[in-house]
Amino acid sequence: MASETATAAKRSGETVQWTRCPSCEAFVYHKRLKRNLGVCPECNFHFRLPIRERLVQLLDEGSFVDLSQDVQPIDPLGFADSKPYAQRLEEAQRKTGAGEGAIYGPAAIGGRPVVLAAMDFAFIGGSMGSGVGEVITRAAELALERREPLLVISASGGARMQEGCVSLMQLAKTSQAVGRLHEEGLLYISLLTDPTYGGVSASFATLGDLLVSEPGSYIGFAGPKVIEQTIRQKLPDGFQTAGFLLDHGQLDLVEPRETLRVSLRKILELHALAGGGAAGLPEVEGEPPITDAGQLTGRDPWEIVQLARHVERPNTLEYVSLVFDDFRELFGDRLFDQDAAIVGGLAKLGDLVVMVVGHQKGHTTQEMMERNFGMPNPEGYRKGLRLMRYAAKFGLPIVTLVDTPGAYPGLGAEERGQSIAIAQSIMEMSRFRVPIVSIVTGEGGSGGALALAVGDRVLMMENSYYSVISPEGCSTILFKDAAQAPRAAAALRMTAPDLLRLRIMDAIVPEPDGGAHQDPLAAAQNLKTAIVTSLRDLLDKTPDELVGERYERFRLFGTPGLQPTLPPPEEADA
Amino acid sequence: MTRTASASFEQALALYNDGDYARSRELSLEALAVNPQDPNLLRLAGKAGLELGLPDAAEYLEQAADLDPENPDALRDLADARLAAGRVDDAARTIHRAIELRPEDVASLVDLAHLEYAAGRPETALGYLQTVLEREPDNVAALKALVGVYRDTGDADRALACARKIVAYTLSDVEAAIDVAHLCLALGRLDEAHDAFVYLRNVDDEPDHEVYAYHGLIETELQRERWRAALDLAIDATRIDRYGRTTDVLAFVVAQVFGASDRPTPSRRDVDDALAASRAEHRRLHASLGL
Repeated sequence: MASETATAAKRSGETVQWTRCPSCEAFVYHKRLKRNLGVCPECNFHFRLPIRERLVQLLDEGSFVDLSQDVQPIDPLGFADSKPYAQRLEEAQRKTGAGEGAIYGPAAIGGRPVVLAAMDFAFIGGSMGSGVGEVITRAAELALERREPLLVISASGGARMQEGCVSLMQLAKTSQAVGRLHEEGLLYISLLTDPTYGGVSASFATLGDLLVSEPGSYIGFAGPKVIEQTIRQKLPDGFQTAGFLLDHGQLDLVEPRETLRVSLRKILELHALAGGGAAGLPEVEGEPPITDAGQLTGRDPWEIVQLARHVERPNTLEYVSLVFDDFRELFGDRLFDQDAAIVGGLAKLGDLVVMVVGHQKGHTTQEMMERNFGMPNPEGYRKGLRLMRYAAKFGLPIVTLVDTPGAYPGLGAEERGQSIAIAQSIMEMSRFRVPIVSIVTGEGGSGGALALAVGDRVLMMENSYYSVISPEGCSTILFKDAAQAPRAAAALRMTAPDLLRLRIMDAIVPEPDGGAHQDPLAAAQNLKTAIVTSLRDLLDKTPDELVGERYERFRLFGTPGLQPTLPPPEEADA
Repeated sequence: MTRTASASFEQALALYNDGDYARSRELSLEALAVNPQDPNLLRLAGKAGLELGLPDAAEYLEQAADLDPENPDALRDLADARLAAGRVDDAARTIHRAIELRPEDVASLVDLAHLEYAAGRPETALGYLQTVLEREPDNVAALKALVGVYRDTGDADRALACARKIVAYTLSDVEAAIDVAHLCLALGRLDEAHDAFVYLRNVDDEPDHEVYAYHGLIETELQRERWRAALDLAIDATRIDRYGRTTDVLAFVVAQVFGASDRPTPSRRDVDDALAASRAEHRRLHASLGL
């Protein structure tokens, strides 16, 4: 075999020291390739790793205990093609030195315990028969028993046809096993390596809380040739590579091999801290949030709209970098696309692990276009909701940062259910049994903003706005003149003092003189103070209290006798 | 070396051989604090540092080579570090010096050939590889390098001759078998190509790989314009091809044998492209297993 040839003993005892990269065709010194973790130093091509090498790279030395020794494949059909299946199994066992195509057992990464299961592509193409299914299932059951995270490393061509429908049933057997982990709130990380296809990708391998892969790995259900034959079209370059899947919302992370272990370790560390209480919150030094509307300066609403839209105004990722530590961005809606207009991920606030989700704009035209000007498609909301469900599963408080002109009004967005995505997000946010703090940091454009703002505490930055419609839209529809936008901005009562009085907002985050863009660091400090103050109140509450009080918070709006009203603008000015 | 330094070296070496590079380096550095001019400790600190990817690895190995300039192993280690840092020309010079000190070291000659080739000097590389083969005609490492260099420089005949030798020496070498088959096809030696693909079909036992050999056999028959034989092979290939990669090829061959039908027939160019892609994929799958 080729793996033998690369290191094949030459007749005179020498070994082949150089291997040819299949991607760039460069000769690569074998030692150099190995030291480089099996990644071509010339072109970054990730070679497939033998299973043992993979474990050496990922796990703490000596931490893995193989419990799969007694798992042997069975031949339930007495299958034979050009040779009997039993003979194929014997050959695979001889070639790999393993009983089956997967191993499992307890292990550790960076001192954090995990239960590991890993597939061996060298064993009949990593196909999943009853033995592999048994290994994966046992691993999930062991993780459940030990209440430890499960890490599964997949490499497979699909179900093992020589075992017929028994092989097919492994999809159900393994999926139900990881389903129990989900029910019990246990972390399941799935590392999909090159290649992961068919019955494995269509079962446990894509059911992880986190789906991680390496650059260039091929992952899919049907092979590309089958698809080409079926649809009679040429497939795009990079089809079914990890990058392609990331762009289509189906992976959380594509991590180069060099940083894969560190990344997994950090995720495990974050999860080890999950569920922490208010004691983990950091000390803060920013100005406290304002709850008395009288303390706020009466800036002209149209001026505030301009400040909220200021191209230099700090955006979500900038606030995240200034307010939180160890942010680990996660991608994709797992359905269709990776929408860059909404970002989210795990982060630390002091020693408290939270899920941060927010709209994302940019400063330059290029950035703005990449982020669709902060206007999400349905995939953005579905990603945000997916991450908030993740948070709810693991008991992580949720912090949302709202800054959008509105949900994207496009043909595709409508075709893919923009309304449904927003509605679902609003409803589910109202029922999550974890604390939610939402802050409007810039533009709070209608339903597209509310989809991330059904919180226990809803705040806004001093120079942001929150409105049912943009001032321009209102002006055109109601005042029949787009030039009346400043008037509409005032009439809509969309700024901090009015929204505080209407109880839409619980508090206002002060900004530096001239706006957040004048001193982003100070603005971020104030934002951090507001988040910490809010969470300190909320973390002592039970999940039932949180959900109940959140219900009452939004139940109030428009209820006769409860909903505060504002005097007309002229009287207010007087 | 003092007795203490010797003991430390032995201990550090044992750790290195066990793969505990961090502790091996630590121990070497501790001993070097007492014996800073000890070439063995310097080498070990450098080698361990190299395994750990530390930037100062080459410095220790340079010091070791300076202190022990007649030691070819020290020079090999230094060349290794320089190569790891991408300093190809420096690495080549260092290996060259090591070979001068130990002319019988053919492995170093192969490495030097690779470095010369990487530096854009294929003729020099070929010279070193020929020297290796004069001394050891069955040196697989040199033969493999020659297949690559000859193929890259357009000398398919010589590449084929070297690939054939590898197959003769290591019967289970699938990559070499692929080389032989593909080179025969490229050279238009179609009878030999047929035999080579039949051999490849037998030797490559990876799941679902048989179809690649079939594609090679079909390509051979297409080049010979033996449509009936191509049809038989395409039917057989379609039977085993669960990913449907042969359907278009079959449609094309059917059209040649029986005339056009109501099914759109792919062009010869499409079929040639598909078969070339199949060859490339087969090579890629085996090469990527090369670790």
